[in-house]
Amino acid sequence: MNKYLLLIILNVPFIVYGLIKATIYYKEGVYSVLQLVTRVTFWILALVGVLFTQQLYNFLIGHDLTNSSPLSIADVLLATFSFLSLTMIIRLYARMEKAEKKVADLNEELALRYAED
Amino acid sequence: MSKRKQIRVCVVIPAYNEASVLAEVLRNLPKLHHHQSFKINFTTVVVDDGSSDNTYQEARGVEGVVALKHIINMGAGAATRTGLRYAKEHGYDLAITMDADGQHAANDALGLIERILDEPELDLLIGSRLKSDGNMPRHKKIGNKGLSYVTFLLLGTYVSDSQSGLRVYSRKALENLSYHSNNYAFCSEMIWQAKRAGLRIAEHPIEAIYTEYSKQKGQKNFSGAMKILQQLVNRRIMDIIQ
Repeated sequence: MNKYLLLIILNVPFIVYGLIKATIYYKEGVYSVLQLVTRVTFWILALVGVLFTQQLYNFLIGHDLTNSSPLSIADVLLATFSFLSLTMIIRLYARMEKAEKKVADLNEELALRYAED
Repeated sequence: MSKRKQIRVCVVIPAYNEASVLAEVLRNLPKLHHHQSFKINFTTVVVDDGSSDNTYQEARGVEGVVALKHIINMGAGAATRTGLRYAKEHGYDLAITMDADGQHAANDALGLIERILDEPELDLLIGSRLKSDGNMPRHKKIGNKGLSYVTFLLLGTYVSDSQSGLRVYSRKALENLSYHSNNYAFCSEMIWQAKRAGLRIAEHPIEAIYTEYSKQKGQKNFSGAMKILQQLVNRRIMDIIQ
């Protein structure tokens, strides 16, 4: 199987998921316009990178800008897992921030209620 | 003689392990002040941010002081937010935040309040230690200026003393200002959020009082500045990715 095609098959679903999620969050009012634009730009750049990896590699080789070997299965897997890890780290970070906010809100609420008693 | 309009001001003091100096700081705060056109009544609210010493008990021991307690320590930003919410929910006309270690002079606080009363179009008035010829040590001046520039680069808002804790908030600011930082990054984030909310910000020169206690207790200069820098970068990233 063509390795570039495998790279596309493995990674495009993540990108499409990211784009759909960003749009849903924007429609639900969770994201502002700036946040939507940031995410859509990120995912489109990723999509372009994945779809045109072969052309990019050929361009770099053709202009003597790289001497790395062509894409291997290990490279495909590495790229996919890097992508997956990055997405998971960002989501984890966002969830931690949300959890911290909830604790702070709870702390605040208790301090104010306790003062009134 | 014309009757002066009454103004209620909430003095918010976030405190963490300040039991040894807090009572004296609280006793030095004004209770009542007569401005040209206003009679100003002050209520002091101490927010104990989960101290392990007797900060809460010391605050409760001072007559007329409202003491709030965080069950766990969340940081100066969270404690300030609790105090400002108290001021908002209890209908105060103005709020002022001050440090608990006696770094701010009562006269400077009054100066800020008089200015915001004279210029009612202002919403957030920040006491700037760098706009006066004050006694701030050179290394602290450099650190504070550096953090103000970083605030500008990351958040696009410039004030000369972005880390100052002496600030006055109008009623409009109390109702519209919100921020996320629980730690010291709140000083810069608050200015950023105020600008986003369309609030009018100004600065007013103040002195900084550096007692032996505040010098010992204060943030370790370089590491403290680096910590705030890291918190600001995190805040900016979170605003983008969240």
